[in-house]
Formats: sequence, C-alpha cells, structure tokens
Amino acid sequence: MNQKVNRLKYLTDGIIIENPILVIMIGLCPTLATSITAKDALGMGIATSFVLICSNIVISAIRKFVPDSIRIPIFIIIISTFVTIVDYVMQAYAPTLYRVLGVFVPLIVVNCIILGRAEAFAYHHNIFDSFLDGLGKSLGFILVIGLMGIIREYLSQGSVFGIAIGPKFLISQPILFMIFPPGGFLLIGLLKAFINKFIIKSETFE
Amino acid sequence: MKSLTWMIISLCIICIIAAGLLARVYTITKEKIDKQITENLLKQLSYVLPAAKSFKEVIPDSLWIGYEDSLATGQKVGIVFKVGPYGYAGPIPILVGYGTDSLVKKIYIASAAEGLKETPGLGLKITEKKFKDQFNNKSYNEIKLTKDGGKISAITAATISSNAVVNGIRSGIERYKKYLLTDTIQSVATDSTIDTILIKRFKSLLPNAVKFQNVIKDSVWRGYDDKSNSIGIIFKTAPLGYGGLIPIYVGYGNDEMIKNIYISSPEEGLKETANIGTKILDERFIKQFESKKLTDLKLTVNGGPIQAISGATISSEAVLNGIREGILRYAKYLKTDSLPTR
Amino acid sequence: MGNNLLLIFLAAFIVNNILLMRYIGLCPFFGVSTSLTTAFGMSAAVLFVMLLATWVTWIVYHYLLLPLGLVFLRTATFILVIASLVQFVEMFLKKNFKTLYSALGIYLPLITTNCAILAVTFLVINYRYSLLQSTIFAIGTALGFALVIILFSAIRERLEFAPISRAFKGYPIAFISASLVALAFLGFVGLFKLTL
Repeated sequence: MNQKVNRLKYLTDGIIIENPILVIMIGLCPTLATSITAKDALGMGIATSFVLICSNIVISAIRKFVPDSIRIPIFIIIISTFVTIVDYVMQAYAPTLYRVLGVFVPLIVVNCIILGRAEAFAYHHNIFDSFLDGLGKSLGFILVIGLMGIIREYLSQGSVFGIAIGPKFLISQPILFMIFPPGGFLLIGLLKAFINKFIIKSETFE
Repeated sequence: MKSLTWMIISLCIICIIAAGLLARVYTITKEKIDKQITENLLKQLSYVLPAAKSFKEVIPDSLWIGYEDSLATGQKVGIVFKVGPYGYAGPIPILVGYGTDSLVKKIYIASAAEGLKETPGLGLKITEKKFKDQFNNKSYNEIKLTKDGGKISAITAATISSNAVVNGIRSGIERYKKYLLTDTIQSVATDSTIDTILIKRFKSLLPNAVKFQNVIKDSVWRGYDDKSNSIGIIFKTAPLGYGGLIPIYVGYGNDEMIKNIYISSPEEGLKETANIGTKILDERFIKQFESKKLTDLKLTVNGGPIQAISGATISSEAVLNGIREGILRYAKYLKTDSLPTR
Repeated sequence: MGNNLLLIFLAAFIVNNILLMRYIGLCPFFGVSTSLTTAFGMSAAVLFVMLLATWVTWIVYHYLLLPLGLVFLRTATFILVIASLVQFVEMFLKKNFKTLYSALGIYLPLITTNCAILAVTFLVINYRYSLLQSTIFAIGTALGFALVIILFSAIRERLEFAPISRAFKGYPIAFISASLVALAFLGFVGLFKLTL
C-alpha cells in the first residue's frame, strides 16, 4: 500500500510541488521563447515530453550496463538521438510548427530538465518508476508552458488556440506587449510570485 | 583494464545503435520532407498565377515561368518571381504572379511562421487579405501608394512595411518582365540520338568531326574525327540580348580556338529587333569569331578585334559575352577524355 | 563585405540579443547574475568557449558531416564536441594557466549545458555563414551576452537591499527587472533600416 502511494508521488510531485519550471527554475528558455501562442506552446511541450519520457525509460533500462565514469556522454547520446528523431518527424509531419519553433527543437537537447532527470532519477530507479517520473515532470512542464501560451495568446491576439473569444477590444486593440520578450519575462515573474505566495509556504524558495 | 574495455565497448554499442536508428528515421522522413517542400512551393506558385498549370524554374528560387498546359511546353501564361525588400525589421519575402497581359495576378507574402519579421499588429498586417488583395490585377503604373498617385492604400502606422512591399514588387517587375517575351529554347537533341539537321550544323561548327557525343544534355557535345580522336566540343549558350535570349552554338577546338559559331534565326526563336539586332546573323559578323581565342573576345572599342554592329551594340556585346561565358564554363570538357559520370 | 560583417555583429550584439530577444541562455543568466564578479567570470568563459565551439563545429559540419552525408548526426555531434571541448579547455587551463583557471574554472562545467553555445553553433549553420561571418557572429553574441549579464548583475546587487514584498523576492523581481531591460532592447528592433 505504502509503495503504491510512493509511486503515485513520483507522478504528482512533478506537476506542482516539484514543477520543473516554476519551482526548480530550469528549462526557462523554451518556456519563454515558444509560448507566444497556445498551439506553439503545446507543440513544444509535447516534443519535450516525448524526449524526456523516452530518454528516462531507455536510461533506466540500461542503467546496470553503463559504466559510472562515462554515464554523462552516454546520456547525452541517448537524449540527442531522441531529439533528432523529434526534429525530423516534426519537419516531415508538422512543417508549420517546425518553422515557428526553429532552433528550439534541436535545443531540447540542452534542456536541463531532461539531463537533470536522467542523472538524478532514471539512473537509480526502475523502468516503470522512471516512466512515471518522466510523465509527471512532463505534465508539469506542459502545464506551465501551456498556461503561458494561453495567457499570452489571449492578451495579444484575443484568441486561444486560434479561436477568437472574449471582449472585442482585445481583438481591435490587442496588448501587443505580451508577444514580445518583455511580456514573457513579466508573465513568468508574476506566475512565480503567485507560486511563492500560495503554493510554497516555507521560506526556502529563495 | 576490464572496466576500460567495457567502457569502450558500451560506448561504441550505444553510438552504433543511435547512429543506425537516426539513419533509419532520416531516410523515412527525408522523402516526406522533400515532397512537403516542393508541394508547398507549387501551391504558392499556383496561388499567385492561377492560370498556369505547370511551372518551370528559370532562376533558382527567384523566377519561374508558368505554362497553360501541364507539361511546361505550351503557351506561356506568365511569370512568378520572388523578391525580398527590406521592411521594418528584416526582409519581406514576396511571391508575385505576373501575367502575359502585364498585370500582377496575385501576390503571396510569407507569414510570420515562414520568416517574416515585421511587428505583429502593425507591419505584420501586410499579410492580411485586405492589404494583399489590393494588388490583384494591377499594372506596374497602378502599383504605388495612394499618396504617390497609385491605387494601393498603405496600412496605418505601418508605412515602412507597406512601402517596402510596393517598391519590392515594382523593382521585381522591372527586373524580370523581359522573361515574359522570350520563349525558352526548344530542346533539339535527346540524350544519345542527335537529329540530322543538328548533325549538319555541328559539322559546319567543328570541321573534320564526323561523330558527336552528348556530354551535357542539350548543352555540350564532344566531336570525334574519323579515327575516333576527340577534336573539340560544341556548346550551346543563350545570353540575354536586347529583345530576349540569343541561342548560339559554338564549335571550340582542342587547340582552344573558336572554329565557327551559329546563331539561331528568328524562325528558331531569335527575338532581336528586325534589321538592327538581327544583323548579328550577318555572315561578316559571324566570320569575325573564326580562330579566335578566349583572350581575343573583345569589341574594338575595348581594344579587341571584334567589330560591333553599328546600332546594335547590345546584341553584339551579348553574343560576345555569351561565348566567353560558355568557354569559361565548358572548356574543362576539352581536357577530360572520359565522360563525367552523370 | 565590411558592411555586411558590421551588420552581423550589430545584429548579434544588440538587435537580436541572445538573452533578451531570443531567450537563449537564460539558466546561467538568472543563475550567476547575482554579483558583478561572477557575471564577469561567466561572460569571459562564454566568450572563450563560444568562439572555440563555433570554429570546431563549423569545421566538423562542413568538412565531415556534410561530405559524408551525415547531417542527421548534427545534434549529437555538436553537443558531444562542445562537452569534450569544455573538458579539454578545463584540463588545459588547470595545467598551464593557473590564474586563468582559478578565475574561470568554476564556470566551465556550467557551460556545457548553456544552450547559448549550442544555439550559436546551430544558427551559423542555419544562416549559411562562412567561417569569418560565423566568427563575427559568435563574438557579437558573446559580447551581447556579457553586456546584458553584467548590466543585470548590477541591478540585482541593488535589488538585494531593496524593500520588496516577500512573494516577489528572488526570482520574480529578477524576471520583472529583466522584462524592463528587455523593453529597452526592444527599441533597437528598427535599427536595421538605418544600416541599409
């Protein structure tokens, strides 16, 4: 019973309490750069999640054969393999999304979330747990990047996922500021302050 | 020692698996990616020039000619060209369909996803239908902003971007409209069989040659004498004259001298002005090129031996430059005895 | 040609500033911009490694991957080249340049996962730059990184002592300050028009 609760914790931890972006503060670059519209943000979130979950599973599967001293290069090779797969598949089947995300697709390889989870979790746990951990962290990542995408698209274009909703003035006089880099920085600052105020009650968030 | 060996082996195994997997993914997706790119281009080309059924690329990534049939051989209906004028934040890629009636058919402006960098909400509004469709069926003279007496109203607060689009299209028309006039040169020879008229012409271009071999399809042939020794090449070049392309055949011997040249007649597609530009067909003009070397190819005004035709300097110069360019490009085929693998 | 190089430099340095306009390299930006000294150290290390990495990956790509038709190994190769390059530089400095090592040493391992380095090596390939243009681009980018991180560390040193509400202390106020600095950089966007 206890074990089951523990396992569930691997999954749920990543979503809020150990949210990679807003609590651990890693993976900021794609979060800010690709959250201009909700669709782009979701695309980036799914691409990163695919790499994170797959590399977690593979690294966990081969962890007993990997010599300790060269584990980092091996992690990097595995991660970059999955990144390249995503790169080509996206180019072939989602060319519009690929053009928007641009250089950020190959840059998934240096997303600290992925290497961080490989080193801190997948290398020491079994396949199923690593899968749950990867899934949890992915959901946390998608949650934040998706939320940013929705807010930024709504304020700057008056639409969400390309569908116009809400007051007319947002469409005729949109808040263009949110599209630009300063808008992204401001929004993530406010989200982080929100998390600090209501989710993390302790003094340790500094 | 054992751990070191295992280290190397495990690293190699991982690398091989990764590389193999990626090679597989690459081959599977490559075809799809290539198809994606050509289909996308074709879609944009037919959007800006709806009357055309097929397109032929004339200048890579810049100019296409549209034909009314699907084989790119029939009647020309217009051209599509690409320009990239500077807007507010970077170049604005525009495709323009320009019909044979000298009217712009439609324009296509790349979206932000395709590399347009204009400010969202301001400059980016040039991609909106309201602005774009103003260009449909407009002539060169009408494509000006309303404040300059034209028919295009600029986008409020985005004059720089609007102006860039207008000027880009105007300069594109100026640069490419000449391609509307010229017919592409009909292909005269297939890969291995060369028809009899051509052989007769080739023999006059390269005396002593009895056999010809096609080296580059429709561009370069190598001539052999009766002992099957290579004695020179014949190449085709088509410089731009006053009225259009001038198709020229040049016989160029192994001694690096021009043997003879042949300029296509008006019946064969020459578009120069009758009685002025067409004087380049004159025997006296053509004879001047006999036994000339690359360094001799200069007009008398530039201190060379070739006398230009009075009143047709542009055509004369075009012939000269076309031959020079041809020699520079194809002389390498003199030297090689074996055929380049193609 | 000279005009073109100047344009590449200015674009990389200010107009398309890697941190504030492209959002690349943010992790070290918020991580080490807490004091002026660390900001200087990090900037120097980035300049050094970025230049080396751009040269090596450019040569590897154009003379190894492209001729052999192995472009699909680009991501894996580049990241491994950068990782080993950083290792090598670290060992070399440790052995031969003690003072430089003590100044830069602690920042070097951080650089492997600095996406700014990898991004520049990819961008110069995507933009089809020559080796000279790539060099100028890398220098411009690294200096742009340095400019912003040094400016910003000065702001953050002040923020330490400013009366800020508890929820905004630390990262949130840093993000909001970054937003204001980015707003200033947004003013450079139309600069291209002047040079052309």
